[in-house]
Amino acid sequence: MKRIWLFFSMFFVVFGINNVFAQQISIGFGYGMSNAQMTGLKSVNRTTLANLPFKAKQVENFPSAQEYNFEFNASIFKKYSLGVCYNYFSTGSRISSIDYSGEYRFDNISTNTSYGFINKFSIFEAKAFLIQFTAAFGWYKSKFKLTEVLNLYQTQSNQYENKFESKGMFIKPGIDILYSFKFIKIGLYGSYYSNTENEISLSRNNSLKLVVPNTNHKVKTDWKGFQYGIKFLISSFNSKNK
Amino acid sequence: MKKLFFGLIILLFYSCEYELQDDFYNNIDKDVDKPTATVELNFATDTLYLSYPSYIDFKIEAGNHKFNWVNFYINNIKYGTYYSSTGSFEISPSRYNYTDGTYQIKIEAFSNSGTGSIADCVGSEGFLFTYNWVMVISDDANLSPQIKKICRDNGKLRLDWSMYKSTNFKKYLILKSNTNNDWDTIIRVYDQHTTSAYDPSYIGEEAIYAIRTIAGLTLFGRSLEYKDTVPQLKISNYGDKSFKLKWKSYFSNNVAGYIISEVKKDVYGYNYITTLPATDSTYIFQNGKFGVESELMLTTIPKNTPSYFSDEFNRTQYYSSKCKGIIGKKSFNVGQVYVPNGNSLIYRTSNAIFLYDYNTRKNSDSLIFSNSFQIGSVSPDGNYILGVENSTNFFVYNVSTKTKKNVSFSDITGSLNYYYFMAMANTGVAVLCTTKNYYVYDFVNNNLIASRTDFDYWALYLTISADGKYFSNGYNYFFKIEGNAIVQLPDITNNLYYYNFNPCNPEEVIEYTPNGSIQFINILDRSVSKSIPISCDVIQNIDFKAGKILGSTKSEFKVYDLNSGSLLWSYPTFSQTNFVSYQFQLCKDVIYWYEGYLIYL
Repeated sequence: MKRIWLFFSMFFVVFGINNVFAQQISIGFGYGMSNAQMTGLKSVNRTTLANLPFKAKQVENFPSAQEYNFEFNASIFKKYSLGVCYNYFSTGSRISSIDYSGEYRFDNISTNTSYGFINKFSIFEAKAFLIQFTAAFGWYKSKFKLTEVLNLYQTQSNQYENKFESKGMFIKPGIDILYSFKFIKIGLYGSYYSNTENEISLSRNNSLKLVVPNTNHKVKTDWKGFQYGIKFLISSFNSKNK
Repeated sequence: MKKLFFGLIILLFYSCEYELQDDFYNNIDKDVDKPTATVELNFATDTLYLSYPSYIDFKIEAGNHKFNWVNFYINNIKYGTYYSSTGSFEISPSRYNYTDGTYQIKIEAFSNSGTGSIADCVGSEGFLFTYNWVMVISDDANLSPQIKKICRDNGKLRLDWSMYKSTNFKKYLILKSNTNNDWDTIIRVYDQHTTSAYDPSYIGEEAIYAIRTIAGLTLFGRSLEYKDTVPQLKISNYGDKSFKLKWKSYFSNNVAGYIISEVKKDVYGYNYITTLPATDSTYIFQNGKFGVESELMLTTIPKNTPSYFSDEFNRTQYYSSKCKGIIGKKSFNVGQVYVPNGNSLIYRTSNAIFLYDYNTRKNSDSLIFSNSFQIGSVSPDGNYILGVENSTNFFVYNVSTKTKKNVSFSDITGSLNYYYFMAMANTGVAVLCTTKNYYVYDFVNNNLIASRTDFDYWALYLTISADGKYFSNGYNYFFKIEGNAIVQLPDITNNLYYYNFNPCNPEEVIEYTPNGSIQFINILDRSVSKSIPISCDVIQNIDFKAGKILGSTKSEFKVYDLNSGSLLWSYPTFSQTNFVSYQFQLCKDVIYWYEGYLIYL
């Protein structure tokens, strides 16, 4: 909670600075795809699958999934702007088996929410084209919902659901390539997301950690991966100095 | 407006949680046949015998099918459900909940179906197998195996026992003892179904067997005594100087060998003779001792000796067989043998006197008595046999004429006083003795020649010269018959042992010194006509015809040449005291023992 207050405090400070010094303020949305290594959770899936007494398959295993981001920044210098950013990413995995006698599923829905500061450096400008180096950093919060379902002959039904979470820091360097139409910029972005690998705890009891079955190795968050997509920016405010 | 915008954006993000969509559909054939199951129980029989502490090991198999749980019922009441991943279930009905008795038990075993479906794999789909048994709960003592039978079996001792029917079997121990105190474990059997074994140490001795069953608890069976026959020694004469020993083993497979020993006569102990292999069943024992009963012992050596036979004494006691025998060829089964200087020796039976021809070795004459009789003397030439008949008469048998004459005691002395000693000369004259009275009587002419009643001592024994003119009372006192008087001659004792008159010279007596010499001494002038060195304790007899002397010691018979005194022959014997003269008599190279045995030189 402290971090959220800190984030918004920083946001309004920046907003205020922008009102005083910024020449341009922009709001942007990003939408794209994101990869995540998820090393620990994949290990959980492998072990779980291997331990199942019946034939099953890993039908999904943390694939590339949609990623959303939002940013708000103001130019401080001619080629430098500073702002706040928000990022949301969700992926999942499933082990599945369905036959005449029943069905079994072991699902894992993982979401990651990141918020922090974003720095932008204009490294190339030519007419309407703009290339920027971006560097975001901040905090992340991950949530994992693990659900195991076993239904037999429509008479027996067992469902176990556990929610886990993890928190830490992230850093995300990247490149934006934009094209300007008046006060609108449209372009592509690419970045690499890296986070501190922290233990995953049971939401209702932080002292219980998620471990890999059999080995009891503690599972850690691993969202590291590339993100890419399209970006849409609106520069709705003119500089007071113009 | 700005805040609303930001809020919508955040809600949008949260609503975009990843959605899982794929599934794996496993197509499985659910039509499978019920398999055939095989069941194993940790019981030796179809009825389950239990004692405390005990358990039921139930194992079921049906090909590749897995059994994950079983239900256990006692008298149709569910006792419990037992789980396993291997098909083996350990069911432990509490002994305390059930009294001794018989119960119906049922086991339901549930196997997987084998289809490989999810339900199959998690144990929710399968086949049910039901089994029923009878369970007997009983006290440990009643479940303890017992030895049922002990018997010979093809050269071995076989033991049969009842099977241990309960659980947790480890082994049977067969114990053996000879005293019920010191037990030796002779057999270990690790197979519960094996209920017989052979005692590798048994050779026929008296033994006690018991079975001990190790099965969680140790169960003790009752002990059982068994006695068969250790190889029994049988002895028979083999020729005139050997024994043939025979025996038979009923447990030959367990015998390592035999030891032949001779039992000592004077002290406790044995003289080792030989060791024989297990395959032998006879032995010729040569050069046994003559003149004494021999006792031989066969000790059987088992291949495996129980530990409680720690010393030779024990082993000898249980594994030995003794047998007595007498060396020599059976001859006259009588107590009196006379070897006169004639052609025949004379012996008697209970009711007859026989003359045995030296040369033909056959009886040549016999004299049958209907009354009790006793031979008193035989003349040196063997022509007259003098004796007592019916305790009232003398009888005189003339061998050459084969006539018998009877003379009443009273005809000689006027009374029926019993005559203790008598000696007959070749002339038919005899000297008779009743306590301290001496009479010289001519049995040919029925004439009392002389008598003397003033002696103050009894005769030791009487001898008379061949011509009937001299006699001795056994104390080296010699008397001459002069007319109707009995005159004592001068003493010639010289510390010599008197043997007899020389049958070839009436005036000569034969005396000897033990382990010294035999001397032929004239009773009138004390001159010594012949002296022969000897090394024996007692002169048994002299075969004048053959010219040989038979002497004896406590351990040996010796035959000397009468002329040269050289030792011609010797043979072992044993006696704790010296033999008495005439117990053995040498005649024509045959030694006769008055017990009825003979050996040849």
